[in-house]
Amino acid sequence: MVLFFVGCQSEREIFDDDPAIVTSTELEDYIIAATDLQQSLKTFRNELDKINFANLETVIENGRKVIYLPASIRSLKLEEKILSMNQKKILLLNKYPEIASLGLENFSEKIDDCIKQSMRVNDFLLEKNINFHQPLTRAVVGEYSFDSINAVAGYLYNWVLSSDYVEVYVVCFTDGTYMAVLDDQNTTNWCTITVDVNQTTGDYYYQNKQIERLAHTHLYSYKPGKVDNNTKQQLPNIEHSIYYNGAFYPY
Amino acid sequence: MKKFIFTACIFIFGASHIVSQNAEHIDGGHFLKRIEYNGIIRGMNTGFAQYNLESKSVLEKIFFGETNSPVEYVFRDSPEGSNEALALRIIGNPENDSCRLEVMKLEDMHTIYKWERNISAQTNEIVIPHDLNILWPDRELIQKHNKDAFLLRNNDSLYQQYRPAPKKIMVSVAFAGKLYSQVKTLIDGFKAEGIPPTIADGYEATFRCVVENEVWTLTIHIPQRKALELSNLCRQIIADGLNNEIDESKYLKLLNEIN
Repeated sequence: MVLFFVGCQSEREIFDDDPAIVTSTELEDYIIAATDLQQSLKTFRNELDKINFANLETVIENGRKVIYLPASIRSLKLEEKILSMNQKKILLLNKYPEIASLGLENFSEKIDDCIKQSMRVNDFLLEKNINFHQPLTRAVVGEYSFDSINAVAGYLYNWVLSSDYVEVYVVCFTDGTYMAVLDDQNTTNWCTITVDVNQTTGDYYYQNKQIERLAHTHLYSYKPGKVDNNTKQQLPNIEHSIYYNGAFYPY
Repeated sequence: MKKFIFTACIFIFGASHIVSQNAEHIDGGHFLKRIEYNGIIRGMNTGFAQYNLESKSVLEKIFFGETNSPVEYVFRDSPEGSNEALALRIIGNPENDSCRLEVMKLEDMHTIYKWERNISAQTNEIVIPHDLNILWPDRELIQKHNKDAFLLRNNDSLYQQYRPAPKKIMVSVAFAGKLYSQVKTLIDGFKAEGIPPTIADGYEATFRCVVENEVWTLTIHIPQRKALELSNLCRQIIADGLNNEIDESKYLKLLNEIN
């Protein structure tokens, strides 16, 4: 079955040769089930990163050693959601077998059109805090100021769990304030910021405020990539760190 | 006169605005466009005894060894992205007018970083100021290292141990020619404008082609526009090649659409 994208945007009018598919309850059910699973998988990945497997308790059940994952993961009920999504997929294909021969692009367009016109799907997406009408790679563009490390850490903790997550730069200024910078080009894999240099002093500035430290977010590791090390060489007069899993890691 | 100056100003302003729209890469990631001799030592019979590998990174030498093929492409992502490096090259066989596509993949960028550090440690020269107080035995060690480093730099045995086995697929001359043509056109016409921002993570794409006696290389961090289209297509070719699903007609169609 083709991949499923949530939040794909299109500026074209809804014009479908076969509106029956776009308005069908089967497609709505499939979109809701797939979105639910997708969100749960994101949460699963984030929760899994927090587990220290060495601390999990082993119990003996029916002669076998069993380790239970924490309730935060068990409550996601991933097996049920996978089963539900597959069942909805089968129902959709049984009613509209022509979907199987659609290309990825055409099927994505049908999903977009269904979401745009379905109150039921939109209500579900809003419940999950997914705003379909925002561009995919530009979640909430802007600059977010904070007056303490705790405030910015709290923001980042929630941000990395958000379905709108993209990498962000975090600037620590010499006056003790912080700013998270969401550029409209940022993606889940990279982020960008434009820094100015005072050629006399060698100090760095963002929006005319002097930078003391520069950090960016990672989802998978505290270790810097090669590009991160190159950036450090390009901006050698400030500290660089990576925000990962609740902490800042200097490198 | 005033009318002439006014018109000239409009033209200059308009012309610069028009010219800027032709730039392929605007306020984008770092790039390097490099043109140099393809061979540096003549062979006794035909061709080169030694190819010019100066434009090649350690990773590219791991993938491609000691030669410059007519077309080469390397994709290098960060651990926060797909965490892999991919490579593609086209090798021609003039004897029977056929072409061979080779695709390769390496996973886990942190492991690749370790390999690069190991190789660089063996091939980089140590240079110290003359007036630095270094004991003679240490100086001898440094001199020996530098002599070995010079010999090892283009010695394929150093890179071969990390090289993945390539997937080899015979392809048509038409497809190989079209891919070559698009890579050459991209590098030839590549123009950048503006100043690069600071970018964290992200991926790098390298395009390389041999044009007569020259080797042309273009490396871009986060490509845009045509370079992005061509990079995405090359990645698709590599993914399909690794899965034995090469479809030349699909690639030819996409190559023709890249302007």
